[in-house]
Amino acid sequence: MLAWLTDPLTSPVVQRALAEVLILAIACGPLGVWVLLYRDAYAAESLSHGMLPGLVLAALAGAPLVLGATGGVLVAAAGIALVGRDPRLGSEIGVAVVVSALLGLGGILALAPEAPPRLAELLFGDLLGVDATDLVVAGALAAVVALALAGAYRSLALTGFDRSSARALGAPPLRWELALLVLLAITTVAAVQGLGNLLLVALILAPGAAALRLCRRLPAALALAAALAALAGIAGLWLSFHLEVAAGASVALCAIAIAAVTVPFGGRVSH
Amino acid sequence: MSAAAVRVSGLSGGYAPGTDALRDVEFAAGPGQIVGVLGPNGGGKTTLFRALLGELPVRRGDVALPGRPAYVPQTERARLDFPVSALDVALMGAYARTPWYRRVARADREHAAAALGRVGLAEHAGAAFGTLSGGQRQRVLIARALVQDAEVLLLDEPLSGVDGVSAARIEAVFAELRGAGRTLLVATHDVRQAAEWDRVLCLHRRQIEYGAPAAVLGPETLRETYGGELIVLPGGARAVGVGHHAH
Repeated sequence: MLAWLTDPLTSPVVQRALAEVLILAIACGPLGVWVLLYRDAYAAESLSHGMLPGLVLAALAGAPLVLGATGGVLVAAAGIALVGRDPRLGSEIGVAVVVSALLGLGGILALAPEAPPRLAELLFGDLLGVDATDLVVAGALAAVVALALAGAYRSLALTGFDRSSARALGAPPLRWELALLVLLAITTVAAVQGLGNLLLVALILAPGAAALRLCRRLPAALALAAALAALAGIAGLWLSFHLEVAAGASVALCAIAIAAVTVPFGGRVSH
Repeated sequence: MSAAAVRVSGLSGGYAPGTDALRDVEFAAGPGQIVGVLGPNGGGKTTLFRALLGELPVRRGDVALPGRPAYVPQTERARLDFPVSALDVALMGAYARTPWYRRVARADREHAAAALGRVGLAEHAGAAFGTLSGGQRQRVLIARALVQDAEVLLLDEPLSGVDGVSAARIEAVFAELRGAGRTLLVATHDVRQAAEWDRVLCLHRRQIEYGAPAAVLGPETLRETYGGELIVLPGGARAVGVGHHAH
């Protein structure tokens, strides 16, 4: 039993992957709580899916994925903002249109004959392939997100709880809604190397959903979400090591499983 | 009245380009006055508050206030599924004066607990906001405004649909605030209630009338304010707006 637990740690590949998921957990867990409270889950899904063309272009050019992710997120965000302004479409349809278009564009680019066969890696991540540089980049981005969330805690709480009074209480709501989306974009960029643009959303949303079911106070929910995201990362890596299945997908499934286990504990009052 | 706490001159403005949601508003209210803001749904009560909060595009006129006013929204504006206790919500009143890198001061924590006591909810301090009744939630939001400690308080229908205990508590707090020289603007549908306050401001997309209740609340003004929504009962000011009990 002990060997079952310690065996994975003897591999440097797993050690780096473990460091990566623990780093991401610190940003993804608490961010997910805010994203859910702000009802931005759809935006989280859309931003990460919409950056595929950026990732593919970076892969084609041999550039670091983080650069492609950054460009892809910016283009996706701009597209969503532009199309969403059309009142005939409304923001949800606008998002669906832009994201489908970008996913399709990414697919065409990735499946072209001259493209290197890395589409699976972009979609599902390569957790076991992270190197020291990836760790440093993810660490820096995750630190920015975690510190910003801590510093903005009260303003985010004012805006999320009661938007109509937020300004009178010192937090201009539009500013903090945008700030949360920016932090979401940064986290998406940080997580794409390890988890891929289809799976990273699971590590953002699932621990947050579980924590909100179990906790009645915000600080507890934020801390528990980080812990559950870390737990999902560890459990996923161990499963992937012993069952020889894809690491990123295992982490995502463990995160979802944790959220599913908490469903009976309906702590949240429905609105 | 010597020094006006709230002074609004020739105010017109609105969100939609080219259309004024509210126009020609002109009034001054002093310290220790409660102003009842009357009008039908969509008559501009909330719009006026938005203007006083600096959130409405003002096209003409201006607004003078002694600092940032406190705002108490209708309870359904606050999220029931947000993981906060009653005390957490009251404490939000102190956030604006707390730098982001500091903890909320101990004095403010005590202030928040005391404010919950003033609205009669001391024993519910630890309760989740979403589990409280509508009247209790309204009182928590008023406690938050007490913690904010503003000279001017804007309250959006604080007495609509609350239970009797809550209404009595809220009115007692109003009396305390009036005694402490604060200015209260209270949006309400209840003409009889407004008749007991110091001033009434009648709005119907523009200012119909402003002044002491006895001088203002005649049948003519009320008809102009509420239009077809009003049933005027025999006895002058005994009037009720209809069609607003849905929320």
